[in-house]
Parts: sequence; structure tokens; C-alpha cells
Amino acid sequence: MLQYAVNRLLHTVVLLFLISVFVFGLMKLAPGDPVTVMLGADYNPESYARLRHELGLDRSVAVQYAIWVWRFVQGNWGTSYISGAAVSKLVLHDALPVTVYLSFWSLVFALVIAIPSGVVAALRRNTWVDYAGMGLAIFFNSFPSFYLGIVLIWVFGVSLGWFPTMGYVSPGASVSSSLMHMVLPAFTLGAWYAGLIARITRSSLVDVLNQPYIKAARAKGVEGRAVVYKHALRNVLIPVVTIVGLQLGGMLRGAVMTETVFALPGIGRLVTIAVLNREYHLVQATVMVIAIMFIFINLMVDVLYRFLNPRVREA
Amino acid sequence: MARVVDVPALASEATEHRITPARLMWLRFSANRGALAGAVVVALFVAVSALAPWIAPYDPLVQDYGAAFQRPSTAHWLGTDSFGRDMLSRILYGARISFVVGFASVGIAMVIGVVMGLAAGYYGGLVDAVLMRVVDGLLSFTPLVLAIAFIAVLGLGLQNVVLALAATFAGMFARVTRGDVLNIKSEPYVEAAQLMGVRGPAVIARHLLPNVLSPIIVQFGLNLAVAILLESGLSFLGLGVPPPEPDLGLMIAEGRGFIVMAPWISGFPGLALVVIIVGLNLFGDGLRDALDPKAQIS
Repeated sequence: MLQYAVNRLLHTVVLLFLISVFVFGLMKLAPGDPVTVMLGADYNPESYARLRHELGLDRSVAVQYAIWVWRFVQGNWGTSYISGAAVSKLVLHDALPVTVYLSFWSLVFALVIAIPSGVVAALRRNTWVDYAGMGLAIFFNSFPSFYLGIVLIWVFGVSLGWFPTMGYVSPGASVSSSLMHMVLPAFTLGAWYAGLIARITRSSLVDVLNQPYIKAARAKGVEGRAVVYKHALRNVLIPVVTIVGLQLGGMLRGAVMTETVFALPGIGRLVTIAVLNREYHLVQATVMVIAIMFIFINLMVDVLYRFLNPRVREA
Repeated sequence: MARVVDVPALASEATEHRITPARLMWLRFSANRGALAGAVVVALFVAVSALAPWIAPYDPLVQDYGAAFQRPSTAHWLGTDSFGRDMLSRILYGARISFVVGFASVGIAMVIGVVMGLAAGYYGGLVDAVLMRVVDGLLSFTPLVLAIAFIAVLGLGLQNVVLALAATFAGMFARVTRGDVLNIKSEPYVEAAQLMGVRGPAVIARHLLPNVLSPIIVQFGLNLAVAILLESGLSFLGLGVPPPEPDLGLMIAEGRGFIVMAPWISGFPGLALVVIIVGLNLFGDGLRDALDPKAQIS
């Protein structure tokens, strides 16, 4: 286990290095000269040379990379040309909490809907309940989140007027209003995820129910329900946790779309606007933060997976 | 005295009594009703979008302000948008863009990824280490974010969307190919070829590639839907195909502002996209089950 943890950690460090090289290299290739953009109206040859030197852009690429990494680690990510705010504040303080909040409610929604649906479908295998549930799951799995969001806004926001359709209210300002603003976005983002989890839950439970130890428990006289809850569900959790974790990255993709549809000022909206405004260091910082989150989520899932599944732990 | 064995004759005799792999695959695929339905839907969409220049009732780009915001009618089956453009024609041309981007980006990704995977798996050592670390790097981004990062550098436009998506998918092809090459590299027929003095590239082309083809085709099928979804998503965000092109994602975005008075402007392109994606997913799943029965179990 320790050997594994050390290896996995080393692998993570290598990945972080690769990602940083990649993001740095990509932005080096970006068109336009950042120094000219930063100087704007203050441009003259002396100020140009001075700023270039200050930013270390007259040094070798390797040194520039080292400077960039050093600044990134210190949280010195520059300022936004457009808003004038520090990039680190925009990304970590303003945008990230919105995305985490949205993802949290989407995940809650998805699990609450998907696991019971998957269990019911597995227990009533090959009945109309199963077909309807799984048909719906595949349907939601194929529904582009940005389109689903618009349909929900149309039906529940505009036509029925049940929920607000736009914007973010922080839970600190008003808990109820904040939750109301999250209903449609969380449904939009969670639907795709719910479809996936329901399918995995169903197929894993079907597999487990065919295992000899379940038959043994039934033969011993354990009641139907107890077999499912005590013996089967625990084993179903392993693949479900794995998929939930591995697909959190997919949730991030959905978050970019959902935030745009519902005008939520999260990290996905931020990176989109940064690309459109050609604010490359803002793109750089956002992409780095998203990639780092993605890597650490995968690391956590891996560790959790080993913890849940003793068979893998031994191997 | 050693008997002379006529190997080609033996081989053909063996195949006569056997179901060929292609036939077996078709049997498995056609037994799957969902997969067949998906294939039919996709084929239908590919056909009508390929024929768009001939069957579309209007020019998808011509604006007619007098005809703006028309409900679906006999003149405009799916209504018109805010510029009076015919929605049906725009959807036909839009599906065309989706398929072109999907096939082109996944196709390019497949070529690059498979070459990388073959080289890494066969040569091992430093080649493997370097190539696979690049792949690790690529795959540690979530695809949309990676595509956005590429678009940030390349700029907007159809070609750049194809390139960004190709770069996004290449890593997956490389990893799948490499894994399979490692599995079959030590098979007797590969080692025999090497001992006979066949050079590396020839071994790869003649012995390795044909044997790793089916998981690659499976990847191609599964990634098509993802590529089309990503393309429309990028265009929806304003990071893909620029207006006034008839792109499905762009049309959905353009109709957002008119959702109350003219829901068909976003509605129909979205519906077309959903049907295409469902069809491709069913088709891709069927392809996987038919070509790679092992993947079903895991």
C-alpha cells in the first residue's frame, strides 16, 4: 500500500510537470505579443524593452519556464487586462467556489436520482420499469447539457415560472434564493451524470445478484430485501464510486456549458470569456487550475477505490 | 524425409469451414436491435446532410427579414430564424458540419494516435517513455478544456476546431493501441517474423496493425459522438465555428434569446443534435459489443 502510494504520488508529480510544460508551451505559441498588449497606450521602445526584461522574456525559454512555474506556485498569476483584478483572485476566490457549489448540488441530485433508479431497474430486470428507466438514462446521457439547460429554462423558468433562470446568488447572501438559483443548473449538469450512474448501478447489481455468495445467502434463508441491502449493494458501491470519481472530469466539461447557459460566474464561464478576450495568462491559470483539480480528483478516487476494494489492495 | 506442407492450401481449407471474423462481427452487430437502429439513424442523417446542396429547400445563409420568426409551415417546415433563414436548410447544412468535423477530427486523431501507439508499444524504451508521457499529459486534461486551450492558441474557425479536437482525441488512440501492441508483441508469429529478419516498420504494418485494428475501430465509433458533442459545444460557447455558418451548436445559442417567442429556433437544431448523438452512441456501443466482446464484461 505504501509502495503504491509513493508510486502514485511520483506519477502525479510527473503529470503536474507535463501539464505545466504543456500549458506554458501552448501559451508561448499563442499569437500576439503580451508585452505590447500589456503596455497598451504606454508603448515606446524603452518601456517595451524594460517590461520585456522585467517579465524575463529576454531570457532563454527554460529560464522563462522556471520563472513562470515559480510565480505560479507563489500564486502570482498576473492581473486581468480587462477587469484589472488579480488573476488568482478571479480564479480561486470568485470563480472556483461557484463551480464547486454547482458541482456539489449536481452530484447530490445525480446520486439521489440515479442509485435508487439503478437498483429498481436491476431488481425488476427486463420489465417495463427497467426498459423505461434505462431508456431515460441513455436519453439523458446523450442530451447535450447546453440544450437541456435551454429546454429547462423554457419549461420551468419561463413557461411555469417556478425557478429563476439566470445568475448566481451566494449561499452567504440568501440560502433559499441561492438554492432556488441552483435547481435548474444542478438538474442540467446532474442529468447526464445521473444517466451514467443509473446504468452502472443497474449493470453492477445485476452482476452481483448472479454471484454464488448471493445465492448462498438466499439458500441460507436471508430475506430478499436483506440480501440486496446487506450483501449486494456494498459490492455495487465499488464500480459506482470509481465511475463517479472518474467522471468528475466529465462534470467539469458539463460545468463549462451549464455556467454559460445559466450565466453563472464559475470557472468554466471564466475560461470561455478569457479565450474570447484573448487574455492568455488568465486562460493559462484557469486551465492549470482545472487540470490540477482533475489530477487530484483522480488520485483521490484511486486511493478510495483501493480502500473500498480489498482485492485490489492486496494485488 | 520431411513432408512438404502446402500452407496456403491448408489455410484456405480451414477458412472454408469457419465463419470469417467479418461475418461473425456482422452477426453479432445485427443481432443488436439498438445498434441497428442507431446505424440506420446515423446513415440517414449522413445521407441527407451529404445531399443538403440538392435537397435543402433554401440557401442556409440567405437572409429574408420579411420572413423572420415564422412558425413551422408548409413554406418553412421547421420555421425561420431571426434573420428569416430557413431552419430546415440550416439544420441539413449544420449536420453536414457536425459530421465533417466529427469524422475529420477523429480520423486525424486516429492516424496520429495509432502511429504513436504502434511506435511506443513496439520499440519500447525511450520512445515509449517519451511518447507515453506526452499522452499522459494530454489525457490529464478533460477534453473540452484541452480543446478550449488549443482554440485559445489557434483561434476560431472550422479548421482549428478540427485540429483542436484531433489533438484532444489522439492520446486515447495512442494508449489503446500501445496496450494491445504490448499484448501481442511476444506472440510467436511476431517473434518469428523478427527472427526471419523482417524490419521493424514491416513487422508493425504486416503483423501488429491488423491485429490491433478492432479496438481502434471501436474507439473511432465511440469518439465520434463525443467529437460532435464537443464541436457543437464549442460553437455554442462562441469558441467554434463563427457565424453565419449553419452550425447546430451555434444555432442553439442564437435561438436562446428568442426561446419564449420562437422556441423552434433553438429547439429543432437541438433535437437534431440529440437524435444524431443517440444514434451514434447506440451504433458505437453495438460496434464495441460486436468487435470487442471482452470489453462488455469489464
